[in-house]
Amino acid sequence: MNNDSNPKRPSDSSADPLARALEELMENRLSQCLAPEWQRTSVANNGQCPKPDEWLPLLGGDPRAADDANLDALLAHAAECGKCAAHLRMLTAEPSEQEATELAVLVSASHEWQRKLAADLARTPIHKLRPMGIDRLRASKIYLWTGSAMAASLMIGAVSFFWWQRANSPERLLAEAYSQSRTYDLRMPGAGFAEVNHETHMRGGGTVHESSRLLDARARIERQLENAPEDPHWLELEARADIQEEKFDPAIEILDHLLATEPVTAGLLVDDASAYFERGSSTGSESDRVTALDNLRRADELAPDDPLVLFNEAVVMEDRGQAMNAVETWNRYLKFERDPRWLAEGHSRLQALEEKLNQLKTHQGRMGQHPGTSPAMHTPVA
Amino acid sequence: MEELRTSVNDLAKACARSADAAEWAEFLRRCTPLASLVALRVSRSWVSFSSPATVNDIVQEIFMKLCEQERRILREFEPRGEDSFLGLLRMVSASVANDYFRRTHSAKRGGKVVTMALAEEGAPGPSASVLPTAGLEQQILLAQLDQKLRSAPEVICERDRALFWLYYRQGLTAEEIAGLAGAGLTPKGVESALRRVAKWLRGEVERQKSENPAESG
Repeated sequence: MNNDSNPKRPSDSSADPLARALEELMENRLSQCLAPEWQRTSVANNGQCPKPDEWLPLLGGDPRAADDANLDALLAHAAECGKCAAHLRMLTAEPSEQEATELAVLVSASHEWQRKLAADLARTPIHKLRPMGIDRLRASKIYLWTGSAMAASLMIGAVSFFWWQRANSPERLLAEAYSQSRTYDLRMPGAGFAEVNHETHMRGGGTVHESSRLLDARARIERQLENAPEDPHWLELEARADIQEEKFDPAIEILDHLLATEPVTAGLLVDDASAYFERGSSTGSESDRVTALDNLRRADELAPDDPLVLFNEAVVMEDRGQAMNAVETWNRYLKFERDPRWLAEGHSRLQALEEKLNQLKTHQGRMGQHPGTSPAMHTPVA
Repeated sequence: MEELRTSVNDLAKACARSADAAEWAEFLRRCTPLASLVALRVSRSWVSFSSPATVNDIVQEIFMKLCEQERRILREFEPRGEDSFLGLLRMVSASVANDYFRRTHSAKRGGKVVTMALAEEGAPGPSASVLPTAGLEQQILLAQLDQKLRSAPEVICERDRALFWLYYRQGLTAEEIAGLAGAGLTPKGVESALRRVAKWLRGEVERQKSENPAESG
């Protein structure tokens, strides 16, 4: 390194031992008069020198270990360890003039010697890439296919299991039982469309041909309740099964209890309303049907865009003689329903209701023209 | 010539699977000087005078080593930077040369070959117990300088500190330090870093002296 390029040294460094030590260190180096061997040897070396092959990253021979932290650690060690520094120097230093002279006269430096050795080395065994590669390729393909097949099997198994579990859940079974034989106007959560078949309605009587799905669902629900008799989810499903079996009293008892003790949800209110409405329809109880409408109104407040809530609410409103409210609710229902068949039923019910209203208006109009008509007869329906 | 344009890394990769003597001859032409130099230096660390024949034998063993196990070393070589194969060749050469002398020394004593760690090689270093008194004081002062270098890692990073001591204490030249791929610097870069560290260290020593004039006397 060029001496002139060094920063100016302090003039009175001799007075300060530390400054003096620094200047001596640099002067010795700059004059190529290195510190004695004891000085070059480590003050920090604790004898944990890297093994020979561990120096490879520093010499650029091992890319795998050439991260910055490792390189810094090796450099730091060499900076403090005289032996390792000497070893590095031996490996990296350019040949001196004397060494160059010695190397030049070596037989190994001759072209002839190198040519003969090259011929020998060229004949040394070569790693057979292709056959091994093909074998490995085949093996890896087999592993790949086997692994893929196993993964696919597991995936299919898992999907099938979840599909089967979902398809055979009590909720699904109850919904299918409803769709298989819809015996009342109100809708059940999760159930697909089905035409109402009032002929199979047994109005609280015993069921002659109970759906196998309903029986299956009931069995599963009961098994669950044996383990968790207070579980609100299974209790709600049990009540839903009771409604389908037209056991309205136990259904209402369960659902009222749940509404009193558990967080009120639109689903619970819908089920409770169905139980009250169907009991009211079967017994002629006005009170039950009023309760049903109250529950559905509360459900409507909780889930104003739920088509199932709106459908049932409109049906009960119509039943309660609230024709104008029912028309408005049907119109709201038609905005949210996506199932075309349920949508068609909604349209049909609305159309029928509007026709009734029109007929009523026509009738009222005629009655209004009659001079003896009482004013009480002009009172609107809703 | 085509060979002149081929890097030593590419030659090494080609020779891993080549049966072409001409390709190998070019590889030897490029690599023999380095292998011979390392062989010569290791020889000197073991014996006061190493015969040219011994060095030649070692050089031959170095290249045979590269071809062991179906040329495993060449096959597994992964280039990292320009002529990085030469770094690997240095290490292989030193290892083969040391093994050569361990084997011959062991044979003379009738024992088995013993692989020694690098720290055990070469002449034994002085221990602290033989340091002269003046040397002990010097060591303390150097340790203080080192402490200063370590005290400002945001200014003097670990690599700068290592370069400083490699140059000023261990006596490596800027070219030799730059020859270490891990340093990541050219000789000019090493010199620049050294100037910066030296300037900063002098400033620190000066500052300490002005802040504590009583201690500095």
